[in-house]
Amino acid sequence: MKELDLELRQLIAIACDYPPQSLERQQVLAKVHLLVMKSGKLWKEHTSYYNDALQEMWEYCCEHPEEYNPNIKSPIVWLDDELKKRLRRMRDGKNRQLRRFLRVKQTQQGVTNNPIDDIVASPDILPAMEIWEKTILWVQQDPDKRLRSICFRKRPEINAQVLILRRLPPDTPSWKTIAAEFNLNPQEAKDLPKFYNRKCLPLLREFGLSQGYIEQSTTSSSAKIPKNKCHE
Amino acid sequence: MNKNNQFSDEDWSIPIPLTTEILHIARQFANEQPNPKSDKAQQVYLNTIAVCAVNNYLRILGISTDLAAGDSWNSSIRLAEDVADLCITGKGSLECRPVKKGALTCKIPPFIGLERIAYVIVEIDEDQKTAILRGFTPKTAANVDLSLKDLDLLLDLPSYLHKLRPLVNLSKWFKNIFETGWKSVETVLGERAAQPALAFRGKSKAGNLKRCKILELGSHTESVALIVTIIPESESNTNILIELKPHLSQNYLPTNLQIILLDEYEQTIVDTKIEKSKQHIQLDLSGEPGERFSIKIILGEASISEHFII
Repeated sequence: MKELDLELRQLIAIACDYPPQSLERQQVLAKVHLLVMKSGKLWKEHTSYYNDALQEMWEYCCEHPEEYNPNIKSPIVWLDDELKKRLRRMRDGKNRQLRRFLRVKQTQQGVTNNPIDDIVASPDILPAMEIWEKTILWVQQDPDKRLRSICFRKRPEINAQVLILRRLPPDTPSWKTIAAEFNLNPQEAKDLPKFYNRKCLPLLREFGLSQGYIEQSTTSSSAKIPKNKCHE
Repeated sequence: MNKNNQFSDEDWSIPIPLTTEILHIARQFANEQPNPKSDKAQQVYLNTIAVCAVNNYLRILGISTDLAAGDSWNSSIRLAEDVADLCITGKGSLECRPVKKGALTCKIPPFIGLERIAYVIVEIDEDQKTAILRGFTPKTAANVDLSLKDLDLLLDLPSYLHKLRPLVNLSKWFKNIFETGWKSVETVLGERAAQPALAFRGKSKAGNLKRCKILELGSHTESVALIVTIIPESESNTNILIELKPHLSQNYLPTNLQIILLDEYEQTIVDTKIEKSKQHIQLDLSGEPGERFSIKIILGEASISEHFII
């Protein structure tokens, strides 16, 4: 413990000597993170939001190593304090959410013990199916005939529309199978996936982008409950 | 390193606890698949966890990423392809491959290799809600079973990313977007040098774009100017002229300067060495949009690679 403590103190001091974002600082912080995680010395508790608090703590402490005061506490105590602070906040937030959730739920189907787990496991099948169906529909309809016009080696029957349709689930034949289907010679069979990557995938990528994302990843990892779930 | 911990000194893998958000997003992406119970859905689930875990690690270190810019975040690409890419701002894409607990090898799917700067292998322990970043490897052949024994330590990833030179996107030059260090020839070498090479004057026309970068090979006196001219020929073909000239203070290119041109499969197309005093060297090539190539310049111990995409 003493050895770890000393090493961490030194590393944090070195990190502070280098400017934020510098390679040297990143390397030292990587060592701090690894040493602490492997030591098993951090505060541990079994709550559903523990990992969220842990991630937040690491991001914060690695961004602000100069906030560590070696005269007041050991590095592990500093990290623990920051971790517990976040755990407290999340517990309070969760209790608030839980109360609201239970109030709504009780009137319908009784009490759920762990609403967060419940939500994480609940499949959002409706908007999900839409993406698959929308993509297939777009490929099949090929509204501006762009997909059909992109052909492999003057073979109009091997075009972007045909290839993308084969790649989409539920059945995804291997490139070998696709090559056999179109009677390609070995060289053509080798070139087909390259053609697909370069000429066909960009169009699919563009379509995907135009559909937007269901959920942009947010930067923080707090244990938040999606708002719409509270009104079920 | 510290001897006082419960893990062996050889274990340099990095545990990243999975947050509620990671598990939520992974579940959501998996549920987009037509059959949420299928192998495909499981693949998307694990890929998403791997990408998010690496992203969370890089966030801790302060390495900037663009999670939503990757194919792994594109709902349509995710349906069709086995992708687990994470964009590192200004560098390129890391492939974050998930493996089961205790795996010895990792299957690299075919045809993604060309576009990745490195592969991070992520062991996912669903019971413990932890991702273990096992290590990384720079470019590898696609469609192979990668052995997990010889991975580089993840602790070395920051320095690997740091020295990586960004991919120069030539198509973006037409939109006036130039990578750091690529300046007009006049700015770098003065007016006189901006004249096109003799053999190329005939082809010179308004649509051409020309940029120059100084490459320092060891000392300042040994630096050379790399000049790239792009000449759009048709929608599917672009001619490219690569020139090397001595830096302003020098009359000749350094002797023994070696220039290697590599195609996107890292096959050598041209490998040439300057044996006597030369003022100028040029290479012609052509390619289609999306094609990649690299130029490697070697002088003694010093070596610089520049990677391009048309």
